Amino acid sequence: MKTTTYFDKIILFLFLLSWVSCDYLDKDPFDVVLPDQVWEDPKLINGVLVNLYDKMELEDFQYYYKEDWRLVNLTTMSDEGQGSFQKDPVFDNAYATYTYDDEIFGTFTDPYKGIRNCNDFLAQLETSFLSDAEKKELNAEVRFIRAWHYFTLVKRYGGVPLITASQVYEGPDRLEELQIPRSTEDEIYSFIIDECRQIAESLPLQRDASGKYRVNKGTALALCSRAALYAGSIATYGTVKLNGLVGITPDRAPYFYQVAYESSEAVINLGIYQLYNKKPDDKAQNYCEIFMNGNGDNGEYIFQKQYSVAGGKGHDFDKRNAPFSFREGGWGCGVAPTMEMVEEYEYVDGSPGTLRLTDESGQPRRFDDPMELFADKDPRLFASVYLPGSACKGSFVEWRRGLITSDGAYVQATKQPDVADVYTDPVTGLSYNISGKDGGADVGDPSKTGFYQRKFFDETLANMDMGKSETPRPVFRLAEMYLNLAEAAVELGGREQSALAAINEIRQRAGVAPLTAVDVEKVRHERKVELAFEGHRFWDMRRWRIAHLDASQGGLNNFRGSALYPWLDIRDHKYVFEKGTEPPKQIRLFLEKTTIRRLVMRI
Amino acid sequence: MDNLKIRGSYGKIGDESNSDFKGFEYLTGYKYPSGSYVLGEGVSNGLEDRGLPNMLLTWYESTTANIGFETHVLDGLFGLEFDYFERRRSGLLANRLLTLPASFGQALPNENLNSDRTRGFELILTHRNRIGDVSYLISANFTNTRELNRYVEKAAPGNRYENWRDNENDRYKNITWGYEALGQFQSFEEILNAPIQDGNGNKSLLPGDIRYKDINGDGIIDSKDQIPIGSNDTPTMYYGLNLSVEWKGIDFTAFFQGAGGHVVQAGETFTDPFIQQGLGNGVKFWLDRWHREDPADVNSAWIPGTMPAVRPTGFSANNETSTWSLLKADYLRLKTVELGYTLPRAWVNRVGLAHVRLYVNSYNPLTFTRGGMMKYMDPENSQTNLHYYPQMKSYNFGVNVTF
Repeated sequence: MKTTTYFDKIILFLFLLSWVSCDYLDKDPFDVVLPDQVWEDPKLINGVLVNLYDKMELEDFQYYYKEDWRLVNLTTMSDEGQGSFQKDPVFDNAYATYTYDDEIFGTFTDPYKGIRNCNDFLAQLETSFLSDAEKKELNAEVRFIRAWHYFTLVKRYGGVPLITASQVYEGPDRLEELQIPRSTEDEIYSFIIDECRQIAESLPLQRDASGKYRVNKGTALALCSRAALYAGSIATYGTVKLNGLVGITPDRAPYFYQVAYESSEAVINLGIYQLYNKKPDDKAQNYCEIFMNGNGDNGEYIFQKQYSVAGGKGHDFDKRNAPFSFREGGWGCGVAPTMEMVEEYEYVDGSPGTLRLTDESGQPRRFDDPMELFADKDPRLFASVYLPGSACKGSFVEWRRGLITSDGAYVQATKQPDVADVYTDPVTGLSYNISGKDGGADVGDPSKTGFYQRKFFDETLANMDMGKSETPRPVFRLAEMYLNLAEAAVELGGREQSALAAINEIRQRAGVAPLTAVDVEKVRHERKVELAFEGHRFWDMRRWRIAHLDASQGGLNNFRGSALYPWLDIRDHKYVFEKGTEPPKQIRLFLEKTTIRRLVMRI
Repeated sequence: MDNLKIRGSYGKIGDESNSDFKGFEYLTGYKYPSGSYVLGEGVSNGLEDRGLPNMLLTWYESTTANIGFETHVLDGLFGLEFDYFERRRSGLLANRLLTLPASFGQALPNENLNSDRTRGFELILTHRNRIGDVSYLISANFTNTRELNRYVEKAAPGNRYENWRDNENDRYKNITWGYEALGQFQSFEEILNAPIQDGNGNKSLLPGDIRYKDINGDGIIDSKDQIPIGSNDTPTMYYGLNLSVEWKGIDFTAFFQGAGGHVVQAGETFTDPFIQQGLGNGVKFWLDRWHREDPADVNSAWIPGTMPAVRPTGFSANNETSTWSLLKADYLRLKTVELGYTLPRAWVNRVGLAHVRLYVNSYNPLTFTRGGMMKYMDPENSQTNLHYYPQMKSYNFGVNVTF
């Protein structure tokens, strides 16, 4: 009896339950925003735009080949400097030669993801509820981002598949439709240039504070200038291979150089950018200030990547590159400029920058202060490189190969500076540290060349930890536009006057004597010096087709880089210098650019 | 035969407990927040496209079956339990990779494509007896399991070598690939005549370094000379032994346990003489190494040793996965051994206590391993770098008193 009563109640309960819908069990995900929601809301559209910006490969401070501790970045792979922090197996004394594969700085799938996202954005933008003017502007902005991705690809691979509308996956049996063949290198460069010229008309000249680091008219024209210049050099110096997939025919060079010339001129004539010259009396400090933390709005940067430690977007440049004694807890000593780079900087009067280590009779010159060796050098040197004796953070950078003792013997430093290595003079009883506090020996972390990179180093940074650096990274700045103009003018021929004017603008701002005549070598030299350590040299050497040459011919193959060895003579407390030709480092082997890629790349 | 029980089971369930399932994979849309950039003042967060959805995604199907029997004979003298089990899963998540060109710009979503099979058996033997005043029990167990990949989605291989190397279809899961080590180089002549191991004409090698076999005979030791050299770090066999004896108030128990069929890769703490590539101290067994009689004299004779020659920052070529550095980690450990004596009731009751037992025991007193570098490692751990605190041997004695 009892069971039947309960049975009835249970049946009734279940019956009622089935009427209640289970909608409350359907939950929406917290972190997914549906497409319809996005394209109705300008703020969310902006959010998608933010992601597109983030995915551009701007080759900034965090750009390394493979793992970042290997210190292989665009600076250390060129002849500007070498990495000195010893973690890469390359520094195993055993591995004297290291062959970098063709894929160095290769990145293929990520730009295509970015391109697809841009294409999707452009398609969806048409159907959104924004006004026509807003649509036009956003359209132009995203087309720049897409052009940048193609520039990233063409720099590395030559011609690549050109896709301007997202492909649709129809299933595994319709794959051939998705396999787009590679376009020629010419077509990709032309695409970039045409896109940039079209979008420049729709982009604003300047933006207000909430968007000042976004793409604007000057940015598009700057990319046009750089891309056209690169294309022009490849046409002039490269050879056409694989039916145009790599290389551009020489008859196209004048066209590309002309575009580069006009675009550079257009950027300069916009009138809103100037070469930074706020301290005309102290040229070294002036040049240094351009790259300082917090000075991104210096009027010379056309497009930059900004960082924000408070927002969680800081970088590690200071942690990775501080000179040895300024490191605060390990790491540091990332890039060590070579002596070749230091000698590239001319003297203020315009004479070649070879350091005068010996006097006329061949005897080593003697200096009270090691900085005297660099007297009258290009002010940009003091702003870009920490020399032995440079002021840094209230102290000095002290790099010393060793001591010359009272009996004339050379005692060389053999230990890292934080390990006690003292020489006691038997005559006077005084003790001296053999190496300087920032290096001198061939072992450990400190620079082995005697120099550290100063450009972008933030001396004001109190907390030098990972992710705490905020110095902005210039992608385009006005100085490059003058250099592009000069190079295009010289390569075109017949425009020496404009080339000379452009180069002399740069030299006048730098504080070096102006040139009276200009040729290709002088333009290239100025470019190397002005844009040092900014990630240009590697790509420049490749597009001029000199990177694969042997080091003796100015290339990077077997390039070793030299060091400068200051010796302190304890008898009269004077410095004597010596050139070190065998600092420990990797010797690079570069293969000629033979990019052979399969038509269908796998993810 | 006292009894015989035959048992078995069969079942099929859906399983989505694996963390491979990310949730909401059938939705298109944008992920928030994803990516960030400084557009003007301060950092803005971005929305990222989630990629292609899979509307047909479902759970794994897992079919489990087992069959076994249990029997006791001779009045409980011997006992035997045997069980055989198998689990087949299908619908494991995989990406139909390498079929879309990279220029497509997106990866395909996860689909239920793969399948695997786990199969094993378990055996338990017991023997208990009483001879006069002595009663004892011995119980041994052993289990063996192995997992096999039945179907693994892969792109078509480019050649037969790639097929042999990378195709995991119908292969056991626990295979490690590496070089075959032929021993140590005995002299510089041998080094210079050997296939190139270090990408630099063998100039970086010293006597005592590990010599690898050139499987394909092309004169260079590289990834094409790797062959299957062992299983992975998951044991395939577990075994144990329980022993207990009792005589007139004295009781003795011992418990052995072990695992086998797995390997441990001797990591950098073992294969580099100083930890952190020269920044820290070293382990003592490196004293038995190849070295010159007079370290200051580059022409003095080499003295051989078990370990290769020392370089302060370690030598990465010796760290490669090979039959020298991949150690067989089978072990048997005496986990507990205890000897106790229960005081006679009569004595104990006289002082008003119910039960008093004195005992002496030990945890982990003995470990048997395969020797070599395994002697310096606790086999019951999965870390290969000595970055763990090993199990302790302990010896205790005590008294149990019940009131």
